Amino acid sequence: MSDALTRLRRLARPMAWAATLALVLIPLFWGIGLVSGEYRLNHLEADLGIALPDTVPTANVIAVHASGAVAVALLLMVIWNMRRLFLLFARGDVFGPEAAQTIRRIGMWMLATALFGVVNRTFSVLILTLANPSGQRSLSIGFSSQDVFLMISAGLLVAIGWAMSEAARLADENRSFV
Amino acid sequence: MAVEIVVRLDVMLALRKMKSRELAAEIGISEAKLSLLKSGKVKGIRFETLARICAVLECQPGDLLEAVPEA
Repeated sequence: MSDALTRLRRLARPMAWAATLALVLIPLFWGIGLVSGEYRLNHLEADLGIALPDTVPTANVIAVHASGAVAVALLLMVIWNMRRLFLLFARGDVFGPEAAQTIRRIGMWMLATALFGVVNRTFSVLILTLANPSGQRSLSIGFSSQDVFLMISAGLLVAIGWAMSEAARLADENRSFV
Repeated sequence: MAVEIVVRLDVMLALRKMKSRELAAEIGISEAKLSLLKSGKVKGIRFETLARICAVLECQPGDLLEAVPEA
């Protein structure tokens, strides 16, 4: 095994552990934040950068939190697939078709996370201002540089996944040479 | 006319009265790989491997490989 593959295996093990930890801690802290009131209206107001009415119907707040939960779930899917990839690397399965497919999946979920991030902000602003009198409701659509970066990274990962599929085919062919 | 490459390693081994295990050890590949080569169940053979086999069996690549018309 080459030095690079040995280093990769050595790096993959702690990274898989870190991903496992993130899978536990992210929903835990999100839940704690929800219970402790971190996501109350004044916090949402600051996060979204809009002025909210004094009272927002509970159903609307629940809808915003549900949408936030979907965003967290998408992020967890990205991390779950990263963990899967690191476990494959730790086992030495670097150029297998499964690793290539997992890299593509990470890219797809990352793209979904980025797109949903944009939709989520738009939806949250709309829902939170829906109870406002007519003329004071807001609709905010915007891309942040972070969204763009995430989308480009997602595209890059999908491309790398395809390249890895070709690498897997070549590795398989190489194995059938003596 | 289409031809296929047939590996005649077993013939050379018999001529040199050498066992597969001994050859595998001499050229540094596993017996399983050598068995696949003998049965022709490989996509190719590296020049490096071919050279080592030729050195051990004291033969030419043409003694190990033969092009025959495809069945």
